[in-house]
Amino acid sequence: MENQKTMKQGIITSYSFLRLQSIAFFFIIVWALLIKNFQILFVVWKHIELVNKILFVIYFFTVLISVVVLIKQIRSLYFNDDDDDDDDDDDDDDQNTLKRIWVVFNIILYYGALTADLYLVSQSRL
Amino acid sequence: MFLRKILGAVLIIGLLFPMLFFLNPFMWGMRRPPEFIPSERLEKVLERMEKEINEEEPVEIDTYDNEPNLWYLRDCQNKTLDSLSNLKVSLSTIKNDRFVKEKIKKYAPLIEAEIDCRCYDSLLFVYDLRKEEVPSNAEQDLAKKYGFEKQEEEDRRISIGWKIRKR
Repeated sequence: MENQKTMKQGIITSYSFLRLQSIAFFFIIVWALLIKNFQILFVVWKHIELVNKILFVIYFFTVLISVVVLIKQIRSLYFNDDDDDDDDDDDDDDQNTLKRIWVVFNIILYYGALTADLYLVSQSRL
Repeated sequence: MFLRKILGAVLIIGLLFPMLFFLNPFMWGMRRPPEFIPSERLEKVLERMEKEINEEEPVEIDTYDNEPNLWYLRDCQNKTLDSLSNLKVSLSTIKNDRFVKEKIKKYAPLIEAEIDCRCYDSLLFVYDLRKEEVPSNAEQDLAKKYGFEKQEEEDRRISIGWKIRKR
C-alpha cells in the first residue's frame, strides 16, 4: 500500500520528470535567445512570425501547467512529513535533498521561460 | 523541518508572483509598436546637421514619430508592402527659414546616403516656423483682401520633401 503511494508520488518528482522539465524550460529559453540574437536570419523566412505566435501559445500553456506541476512538486518535497518514519531514512533524505535543489533550479529556469515567452510575444504583432 | 516549510512557502509565492505579470494581457499584445531607430551612421549625420544649425539657433532633430517601425522594415525586407512610406525627420521650432532650408538641401543627400535599406519613398523634413518669420504669400494676401483674417497665433508647420530613388 505504502509502496503504491510512493510510486504515485514518484511520477511527478522522479528524476526523469525533473530532467524533462528542465529540458523543456531550457528549450524555450534557447529558442528565444536564438530569435533575439539572429533576428536577421529569421526574418528571411516569412512564416517565422506565425511560428512564433503559435509557439507563444504553446509556451504560454506550458508555463501555466508548469506552475501547477511545480507547486505539486514543492508540496510533496517540502511539505511532506512522511519520510521521517521510513526505514531507509538517510538514503531517502539524501535523494530528497537533491530533488529539492533541482526544483529550485527548475524554478529559476521557469523564470527564464516566462521572460522568454514574453519576449516571443513582443516579436509578433497581435 | 519548520524551516523547510517556510522555504517551500516562499518558493510557492515566488512561483505565483510572476503570474501577475504573465497573465496580464497588457504584457502580451496591447502595447505600442516598437519605434523607428536610426542607424548609427544616420544618427551621426543628424547630429552633425543639428550642430551646424545650432550655430545659428537652437534646434532639436528627431526621427521618433516615424511610421516605419520594426514591422514596416520587416515587411519591406519580405517585400509584402503595398506602398513605401516617408522617412520623417522632424526639427523643432525655427526662426530663420532660409538658413534651415539651405542646411536641409545640404544634408538631404547625406542622409539619403546613410539610409541603407530601400524602404523609403522620400525624405520629409518637418518643422514649425515662428510666426514673425512667416513670409506673406499669395494665400494670405487673398485672405486679407476678402476680410478673412486668419488667427495665426500658432507656429506654421512646414514640410519639405526630398525624393529618394525608387525601389
